[in-house]
Amino acid sequence: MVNKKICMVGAFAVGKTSLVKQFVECIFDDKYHTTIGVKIDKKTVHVGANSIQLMIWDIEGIDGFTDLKPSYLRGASGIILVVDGTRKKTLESAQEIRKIVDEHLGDIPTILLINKSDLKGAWQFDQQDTEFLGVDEDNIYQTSAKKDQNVELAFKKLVELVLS
Amino acid sequence: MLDQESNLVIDSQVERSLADYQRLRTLLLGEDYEKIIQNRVVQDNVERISGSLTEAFKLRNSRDNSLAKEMAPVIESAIDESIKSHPEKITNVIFPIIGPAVRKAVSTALADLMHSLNYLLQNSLSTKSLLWRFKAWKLGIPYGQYALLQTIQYRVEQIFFIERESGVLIQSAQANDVNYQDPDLVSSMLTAINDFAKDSFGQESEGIETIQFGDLSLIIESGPFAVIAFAVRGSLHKDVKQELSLLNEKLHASYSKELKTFNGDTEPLSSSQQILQDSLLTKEKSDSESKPWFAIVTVFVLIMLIGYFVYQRSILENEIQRNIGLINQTEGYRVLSHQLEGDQLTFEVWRSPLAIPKEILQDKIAISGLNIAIDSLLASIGTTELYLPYLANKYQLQLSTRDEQGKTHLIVSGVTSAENLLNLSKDPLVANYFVVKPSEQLQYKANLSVREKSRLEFNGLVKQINSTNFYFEVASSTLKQSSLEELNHVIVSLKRLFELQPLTNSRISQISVTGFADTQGASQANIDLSEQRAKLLHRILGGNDISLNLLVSWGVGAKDLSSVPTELQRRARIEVLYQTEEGFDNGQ
Repeated sequence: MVNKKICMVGAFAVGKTSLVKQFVECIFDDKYHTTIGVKIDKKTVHVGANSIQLMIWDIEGIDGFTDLKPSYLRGASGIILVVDGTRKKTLESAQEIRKIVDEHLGDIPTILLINKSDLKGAWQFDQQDTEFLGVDEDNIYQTSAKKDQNVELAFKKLVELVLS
Repeated sequence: MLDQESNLVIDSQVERSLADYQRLRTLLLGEDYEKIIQNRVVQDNVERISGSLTEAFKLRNSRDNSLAKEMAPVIESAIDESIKSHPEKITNVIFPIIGPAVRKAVSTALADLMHSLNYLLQNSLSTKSLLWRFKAWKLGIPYGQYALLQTIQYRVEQIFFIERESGVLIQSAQANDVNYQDPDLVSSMLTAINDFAKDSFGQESEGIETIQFGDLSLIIESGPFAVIAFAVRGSLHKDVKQELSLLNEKLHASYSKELKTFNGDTEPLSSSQQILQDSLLTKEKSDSESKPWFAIVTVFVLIMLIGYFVYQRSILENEIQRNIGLINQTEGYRVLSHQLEGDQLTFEVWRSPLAIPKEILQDKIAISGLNIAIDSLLASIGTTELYLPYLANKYQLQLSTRDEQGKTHLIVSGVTSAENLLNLSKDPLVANYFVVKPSEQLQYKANLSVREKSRLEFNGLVKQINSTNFYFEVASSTLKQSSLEELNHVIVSLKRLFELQPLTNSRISQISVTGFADTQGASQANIDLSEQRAKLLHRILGGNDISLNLLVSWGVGAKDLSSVPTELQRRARIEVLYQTEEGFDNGQ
């Protein structure tokens, strides 16, 4: 069995924990629980003939008061960068995170999730607005943890990138 | 180009000649020849393979396990087919081994059952186990867990072999009956906590070395590529820490290449499982370690102290008893009780007025470390045990007492002179309380004169008469029957006294009769009644030849205290007064 460490990063309240919960347990909870430090889950994913166990590090969201702790990223094989489609400011946080990731992990498989696609009417930006983050267009997904849209697809995509 | 063309020409010629050869062979040997040839070739191959098959198997087996893997389904199918088609053959083959195997399995199961039962009885019904069950119930934890905690000094319950960078678990091992959270999550979380600690408190440090919660400790040691963590129940013994370091070194030495190139694939490191298993140390508490030496020493010291105090006390008690014996052996003293308060010892004693002063006695007795005081009470004459030894010693006689008809007789035995016996009967201690009565065993010294003998008899009779009371019926001057009989004895004694007068040079001067009445009734009536009682005796004595010249009588009425029983108040008494060479006497 191959074990890989995956880090969920993004601004606070973009839905990182909800995405992990949806992916691992197929559950969505309306209540908001802020993550302090890091929360770890695991899930085995089958891609083709390969099985891979993902150790998913759900790292606390960053804001004006909390910076991303680079030590949590150490040894990661893939990054899931999450932004909130209803909050344009989360793009700025994502850019900051991207910079830290580049600095500490270099070129590492990364996917970008624009979350809360169930609230598309309230979206403040579109996929084109994320180009500056430098994530390949194929690796950008519009997701909804609430409606379970593209969540598993996105994780599997990252697994493919990690294994390739 | 020319070369190529020439090669093609050669090939076509070879093919043609081969075809011709084939056709010629068919024409000469017929169709079956081909089949024979093919069969021969196959047979040759079979013979060739059979010759080297065993060696080939052997060689392949020494290289890897692939042959067994490939053969397994074939053998399974073969056995399956064989059982279906010829079950009796398999039965015959396994029969010799199935019997012993079943017997062994049954005996092992029975032995296990007995062992389990014994263990269950030992661990369920002992006082210790009941106490543990109670404590486990109080703490709200399962009995098994509590029992384990009580019996182990330490136990490495789980080992984590973690990739240092990513926190990915490479391998883990855990002790039997231990059920923890997912080791993958634990190892990742441990790494995260370690990262957090490093971020918070300094990058230079190696990170967390020990995490402790309750009686479970997590000790962590980092190597260049991996982190090893032990979950230890119980004390963190140095052996455990040493084992952690050894394991860390061993894993890095054995898997340095794999760890350097680790990409998340744990398969190349799967053999580390056995190494981890070997490091699951357990040490049970030994009996010697569990002995409560402090309590044992405390109890021992307490016993020694109690023993010392008991010893000291017994010595003191012996000394006290020795002194009590000393006091009791002193004439006229008798110990009633003793009291010890601090270093003050007080003897409460009876003391005869004739005994030596208590200050002299006090000087005789001593106990080191104690102040001694004697608290003396003047002994009553009724305390015969106090007086008799004194009197017996003084008069060199054997003395005892006997109560007869309301009087206390002093029974005298031994060898005495009449004078000594007389002096005894005149002794104030004797005369006031006893009636001297010589016993049959009393022997007089040979030189005892008739006069002495008579005098002794005379004195004894006077005392007997003077100490006799005569009792009357209620409000009457009628004598009670018992007193009437007494009166007969007294009359005989009086007559004997008159006979003894010339022998003893004594002379009876007066025989007075005094009457008494009880307090009931009027005073004058009581005086009259008492006079009547006295006169009755007066008349009876006179009527029995007792000289009327010597007889006087009077009644005194009710004179007794109210504490005297009324039947004893209704009485009269006779008193003999006589005169000897020495003077007047009444025998007292």
